[in-house]
Amino acid sequence: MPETGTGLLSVQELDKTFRVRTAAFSRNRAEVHAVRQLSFDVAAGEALGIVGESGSGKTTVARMLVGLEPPTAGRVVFEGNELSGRPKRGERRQRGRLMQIVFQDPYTSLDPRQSIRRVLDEVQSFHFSRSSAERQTRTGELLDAVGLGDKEARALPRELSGGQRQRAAIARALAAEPKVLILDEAVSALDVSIQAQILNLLGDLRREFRLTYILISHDLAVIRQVADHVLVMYRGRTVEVGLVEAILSAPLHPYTQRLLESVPRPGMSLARRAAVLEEEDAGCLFRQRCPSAFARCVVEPELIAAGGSHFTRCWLADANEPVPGYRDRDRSEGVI
Amino acid sequence: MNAPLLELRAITTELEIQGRHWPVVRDLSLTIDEGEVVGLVGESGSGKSMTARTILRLLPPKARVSGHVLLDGVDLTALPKKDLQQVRARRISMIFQDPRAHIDPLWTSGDHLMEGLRVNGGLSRSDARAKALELLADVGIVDGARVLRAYPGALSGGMLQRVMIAGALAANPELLIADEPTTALDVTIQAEIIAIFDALRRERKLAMLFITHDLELASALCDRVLVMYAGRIMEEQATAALFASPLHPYTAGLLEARPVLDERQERLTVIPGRPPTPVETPPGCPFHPRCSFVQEACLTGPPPLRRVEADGYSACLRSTQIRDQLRPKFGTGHA
Amino acid sequence: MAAAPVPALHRRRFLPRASAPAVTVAAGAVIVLLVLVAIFAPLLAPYDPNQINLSDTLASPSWAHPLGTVSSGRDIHSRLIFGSRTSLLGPLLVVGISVAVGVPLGLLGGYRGGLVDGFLARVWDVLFAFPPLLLAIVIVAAFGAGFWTSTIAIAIIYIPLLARVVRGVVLVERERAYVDACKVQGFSGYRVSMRHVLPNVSPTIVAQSTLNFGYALLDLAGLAFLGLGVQPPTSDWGQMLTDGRQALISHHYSEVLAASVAIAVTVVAFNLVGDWLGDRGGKTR
Repeated sequence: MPETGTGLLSVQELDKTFRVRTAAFSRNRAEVHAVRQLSFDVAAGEALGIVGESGSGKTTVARMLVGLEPPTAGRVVFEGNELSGRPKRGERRQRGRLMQIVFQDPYTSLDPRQSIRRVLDEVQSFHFSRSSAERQTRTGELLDAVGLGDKEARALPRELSGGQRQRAAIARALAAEPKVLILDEAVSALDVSIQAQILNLLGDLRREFRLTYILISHDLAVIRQVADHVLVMYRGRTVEVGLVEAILSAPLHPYTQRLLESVPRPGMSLARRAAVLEEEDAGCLFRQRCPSAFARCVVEPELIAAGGSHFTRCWLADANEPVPGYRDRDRSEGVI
Repeated sequence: MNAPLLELRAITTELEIQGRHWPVVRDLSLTIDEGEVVGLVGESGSGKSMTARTILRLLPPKARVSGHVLLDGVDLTALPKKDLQQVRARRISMIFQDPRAHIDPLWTSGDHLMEGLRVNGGLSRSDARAKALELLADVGIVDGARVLRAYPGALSGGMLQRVMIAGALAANPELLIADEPTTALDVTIQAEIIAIFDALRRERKLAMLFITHDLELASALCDRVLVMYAGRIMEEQATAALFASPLHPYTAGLLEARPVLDERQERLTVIPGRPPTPVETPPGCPFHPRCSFVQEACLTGPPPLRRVEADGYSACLRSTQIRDQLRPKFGTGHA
Repeated sequence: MAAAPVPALHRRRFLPRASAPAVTVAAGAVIVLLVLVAIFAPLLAPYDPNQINLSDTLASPSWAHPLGTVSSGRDIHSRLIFGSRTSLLGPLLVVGISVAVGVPLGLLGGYRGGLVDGFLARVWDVLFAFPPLLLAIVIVAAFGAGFWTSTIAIAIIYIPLLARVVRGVVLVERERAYVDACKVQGFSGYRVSMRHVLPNVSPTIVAQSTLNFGYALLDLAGLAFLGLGVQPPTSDWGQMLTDGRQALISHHYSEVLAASVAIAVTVVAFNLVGDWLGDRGGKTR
């Protein structure tokens, strides 16, 4: 297992189950295991990328970190202090100073009736005892930092473009002067030309404010641009974690490999695959879709060390595994 | 050379926005040959979806269209509603970004698939069922019988999009219009869906208009790519050529703005500003306020799409200069 | 939670939705005019509305009495003008009370959810289980007829109505990402709901209250007509209906007609403006 307990933020065995109705009006509730015993550490100044697809639990992780969702089990430790799963009033204010979040949808994430100038003022007067003049100065600095002008600062959100709104949402998060900024698909809804502007901004802000990032995205290229370490999630489980260069150049888990193969590019191989209707909850969670699955996969492996900070949850990385490693196997299995 | 399967001639589509008509597609011409997959790429508001909707006349009320849409030489803009309905039912199918919004949640996927086969194809119930299973197999659904019984709520987005594609194929159309068909799906599922489109092109000679905001995605599938901006075609090239040597500064800007997997870039090269809405579109070349190659002549009128290469068109006055200047940057294979 | 059917009394709508702004502007002008009439009633009315003149009873319209007189010789025109005061003040109080009580409770239930919301929902269910007019009659019977009891009785009926509407829009609003962003800042539930959610649902509250004004006017007129509301000799449109009823037998329609027209015009004006506000509220994003 990767070590936990050190660093700025430590997530230990975090677990989340939702109970959902199986159908409208139904009394039957099914348990959905959104996050399964997730553990990771983030060092101060680091940028951790969490990559995964819909249903991987990556957004649930973000919501638990900022206290929007209570975990079913597990701990979140910040600078050695455990944070409450259900923060009380005073704890919520403290937590707001530690971690802030930028959401995906720039169209619902701003209060429709408040200009960003008013938002920044409210956040500051909530967290800090500053005079009105001090707050105004700071508001000006924040607006400068995210590249918004005076005109945009006075406008209501509906008068702003998607990119401008996302800049405003970033400014709001920074106003609380947090140590960790969580970016939950924060550039996914933006046009390519705007996305690049925001990615550059995130790079600048990280240096300027010495921020720690947790970047949640389905887009590996975005992860590559921002993150130092990456954690790959599949159905709530960490399947691979390590340095971003290592994982993108030599992925060990078949799911990570599939993710990389699926990144669209000219001349990509277009292999037809049978659709998987249902995936089982026991054993390796990816095995129904895995081209390399074999008998041992009915038991789920622990994270297996693969050198340095690289860990993967796949039996093929097990040194004692007699079955040849994935590289030597016929990769066309499961392809139709 | 044969006549193209579909040809758009000087299409201009105007929508009513705040009481006035504004063009969202401007003077657009394109052709799609039999079995050809053409990509239409643009950012939000570029008019790519409205182009597709113009073809099948699926436009909001009060929309105005000028120009011609020719399917095998027959002008669809002149066709009465009833005949157009036949075209939609049998010759051109369309699939959308959000399959859940385009399927009745109270119908099983079997009801959905078999209705078209029985009404338009005149098949009996059991024949329709057999055909539906066959179509599902074509889109990679092995356990077809179970999927036919399932309601949309019980199927994942990727599975539902496969069902929608199967439905679109039911009438054995000549052209498939796919409007951002994978945008709402996971990356791995997107790759699977693209593979299905690729197989349909090879096995059925199905022609396709593939609409996306993702230039790289278009490049993975399409033979030819058209880049749209503010309602106009900026550039049209064969896919490989477009990536190796873009002819328009907007295309080059899009290619450069995307982060790459191989390395972290110090800074991404950005296109300043943002795409204009139809109401804001500037006179002259619509891209000129964001363009680093801008010169006086760019402001006088929108440059026409001109042939620059044997099979490469660009609506930029400085196409050749841009090509020569940018080729070293892209020539090595950008992705 | 299954929504209990809203009693028919509250669902009345007399005209299709206003489509042309010109209609809305006209309706707004009518409302302004009515308010002015109510304020300046002593200046506008030619007679004391309560002045009995037995020498000139049940007079037909004339230059001296444009709408004629009633059986006690009181001037209908003057009674109509003074009647606008109680007829507008009553609904105004109903709307004021329902907003003051219903909005906080709706906000509380919708934003907090859980047991608080469950408890409030049961309270509303119980109140909705009574036919509203019957409930009002029971209250009036217990505390005596009159302007204040009837107004408070109708207000009690309108509290759950408004609270439910507010709860519904708050449920939608609290799911928006900006509310989560406020929570992440650490803002208290009170601060988020009062400073962020409430301003965003206020267009709905204003629109609903405008509609409620018209409905409340009808309900109060109904109670007055039954003799449970405003008591004679105070001028009131609903009371004029009761008063004029006897005169109908002898073919003296003017009192009933004048009061009916006044009520109908007022209600339609408030419906039109309320609908327009409601439509506009949905478009401001």
